[in-house]
Amino acid sequence: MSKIFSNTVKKTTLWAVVSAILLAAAIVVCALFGFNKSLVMKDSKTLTVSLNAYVYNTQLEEVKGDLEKKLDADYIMEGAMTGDVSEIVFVFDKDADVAAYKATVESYLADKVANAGGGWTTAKYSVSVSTEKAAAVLAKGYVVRAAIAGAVLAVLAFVYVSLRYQLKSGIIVGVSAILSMLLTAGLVVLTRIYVTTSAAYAITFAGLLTTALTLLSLNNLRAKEQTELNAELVAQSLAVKEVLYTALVLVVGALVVGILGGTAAIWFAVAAILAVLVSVFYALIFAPAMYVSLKAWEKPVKSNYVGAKKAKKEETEATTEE
Amino acid sequence: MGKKKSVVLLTLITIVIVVMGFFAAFPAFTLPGKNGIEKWNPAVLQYDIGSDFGGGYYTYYYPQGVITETEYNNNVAALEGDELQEYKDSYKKYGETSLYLSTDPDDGIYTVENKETVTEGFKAAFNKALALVTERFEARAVKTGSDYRVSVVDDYAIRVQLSSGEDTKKLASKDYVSQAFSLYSLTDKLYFMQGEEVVEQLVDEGTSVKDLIKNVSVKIKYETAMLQITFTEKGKSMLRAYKVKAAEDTSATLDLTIGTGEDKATLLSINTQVINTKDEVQYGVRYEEERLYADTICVLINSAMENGGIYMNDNETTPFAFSAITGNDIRIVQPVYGDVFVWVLVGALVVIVLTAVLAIVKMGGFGIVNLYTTLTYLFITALCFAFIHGGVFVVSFGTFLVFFAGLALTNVLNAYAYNAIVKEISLGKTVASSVKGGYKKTVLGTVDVYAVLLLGALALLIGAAGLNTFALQAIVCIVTGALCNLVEGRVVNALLLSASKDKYKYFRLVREDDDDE
Repeated sequence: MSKIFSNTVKKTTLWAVVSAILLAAAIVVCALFGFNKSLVMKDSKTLTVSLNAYVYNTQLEEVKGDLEKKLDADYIMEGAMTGDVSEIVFVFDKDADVAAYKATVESYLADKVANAGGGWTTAKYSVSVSTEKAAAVLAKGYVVRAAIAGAVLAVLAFVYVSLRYQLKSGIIVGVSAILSMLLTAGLVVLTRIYVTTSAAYAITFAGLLTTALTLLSLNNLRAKEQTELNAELVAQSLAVKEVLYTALVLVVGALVVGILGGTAAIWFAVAAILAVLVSVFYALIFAPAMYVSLKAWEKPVKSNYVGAKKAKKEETEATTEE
Repeated sequence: MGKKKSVVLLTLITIVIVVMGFFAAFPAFTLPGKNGIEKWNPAVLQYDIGSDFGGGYYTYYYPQGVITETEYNNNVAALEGDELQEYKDSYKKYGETSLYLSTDPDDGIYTVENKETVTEGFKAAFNKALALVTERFEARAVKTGSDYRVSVVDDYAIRVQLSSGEDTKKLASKDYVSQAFSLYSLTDKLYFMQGEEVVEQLVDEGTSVKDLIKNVSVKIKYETAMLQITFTEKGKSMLRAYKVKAAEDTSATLDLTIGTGEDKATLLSINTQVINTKDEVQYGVRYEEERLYADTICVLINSAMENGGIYMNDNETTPFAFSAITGNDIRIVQPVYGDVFVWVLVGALVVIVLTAVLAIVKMGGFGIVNLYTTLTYLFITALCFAFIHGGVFVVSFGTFLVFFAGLALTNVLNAYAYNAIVKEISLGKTVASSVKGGYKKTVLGTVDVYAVLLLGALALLIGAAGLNTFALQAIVCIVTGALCNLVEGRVVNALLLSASKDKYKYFRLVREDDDDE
């Protein structure tokens, strides 16, 4: 594996260009289409079925199941109420033909009342369709404050690592943190993952994870700082197993949440996995390459020490000349 | 340390972990006895679950004079004859929507000339009311750290959805939500009243409560969430006039209300007890843990001071108002503790068990150290997420992400120390010296990782709402992980090593026999 990384650490320009292209593409797509907001965050149409309490409490699962098959709803909300009436709300994309769905549902319920018997004979129901325009879904200053938080995260990481290690290490960690957050956000835009407010967790998490994973490798490199570090030695010093193990636990954890947690969870899991993959890229590929490049730019320190033999030789030559 | 002492200490640590595990995750059961707590619930079942896992509440705000198609049809079905015709004439369906709008000219919704066009005054008033409601819930979301949605339904109704929040001792999450839904629908102006009369300082044209109040905020004092109100000079003169009246009539109060008529809502009833020597009001609302109740009122007062009072005409004779919200109008979206969340907890537990088993397979006896640190991390974070209050610890998808990150790092940094110790042993040093050397070489690296993460998590506190909560949860995971790696891991390792028969086998190493023996 160190052979693979001994190649990747020599290609700083390539990784920088790849990051820049992806970010540029994301900016263009975002400018044209914005984030792909989930239905919870955008305009929609709704079909509301109101049922009297007895039918709602005893037949809810059956009604919901039957109607789910007939309607192509994006999601369903059960609106239980304390009075005589409760409701089921089917939520559709804003361009859906809900008028046709309304007729289907009214026909279904009329048939139930006429033929199902039991509590259905005295059932009261109504069906209505509405359009909804999202007016506000984010807390005041949510996006601006998230951006500022991400920037401050990168600056604090840069300051700490610069003081504890070296300036170049601080630059590597700071730049990697910022780029990982931007690239995660960019990939979320490019892959058109459905976005809710929880996408901000995945994006800022990329910054946190990148700083931690990058530091694991920098720890190893710091121990070898006094030796002549070349690309091969840098590749051998990377904390590959540690980074991959951390990534594996996080990917498995995200999959657990995504598979078991329902529809909205799947999209969050995808965003979280992207954040982990981006962090691994920056920790194992971009940051070490940047390290090699910055090390190459360092001027070698000139020593004024002259060895004893060399000094004696110079003295002898000077005497001979005289 | 002697073997016996090590075993005793290890047993004590194990008991502490088992007790924490009991509080964190022992399945619910009914307690015997009639009084006091009737049911035991573990910490994991007491989480405040955010909207990510479903769970929440919503309601509709209908302007006065606007009703739903369902209500219209129900009333039509219940009336007959002239009454029915009169009712049908008093409402007209708005386009192809589910709303019926009043045709009564006094309601100011449809134009008098024809009942096809909605008046500009009603449209403008509705838009102002929408902005007012949105501003209130936006500000409240910052305090609660949870999600919300405000949307316009069929142009002239509003649907507001809030995620489930925290239950406290005396108030369930539905009570907080119900308070917000009913208070934030009030669009009238703020007034100070004594009895049925508006105070004389507000009688002058152009004077509003904003000219009397300098600042309203929530403070915690004596374990009580208080509204602290500071006044302008004009406001202080109002307080002094009230104190004179109160000296004559001890039952007199100075009420802060929204509206003045029969439908007025009294927010605060100020008496002389809550006015301090600096002419400030410190009004205790609820206990400290119910701070959200006070925050909700604080947001309302600030909002009403700036933008309260919406009218449908320029001479302010036709007020705009929403119909009152009652408990029956609130819809509960899915049970808070659904099966989904429990399955995710079970899945997380499987991941934790797998990491612990892998560590034991790879690191031998040191894997047991990893098991101890993993369990401690698990139970401390589980308890912190359940019992740190203030309405900020709503469990969301981000919670699981940061939890798994902390778990992975705890394992990785244990492995980091293990590898350093094994390397020292491979240089020919004794086990004791290798352990000391290994930990010495890795402690600063471990501290650096956690320090940078902690700084990063502190930076994320700048974020609003759910991101602020995510940052707090990250801090809990980071600090817990650091204590597990830097303190508990070393202690447990020392105890296990001391109790171990073969110290090389403990580290899954084969001791090379000395050729001279």
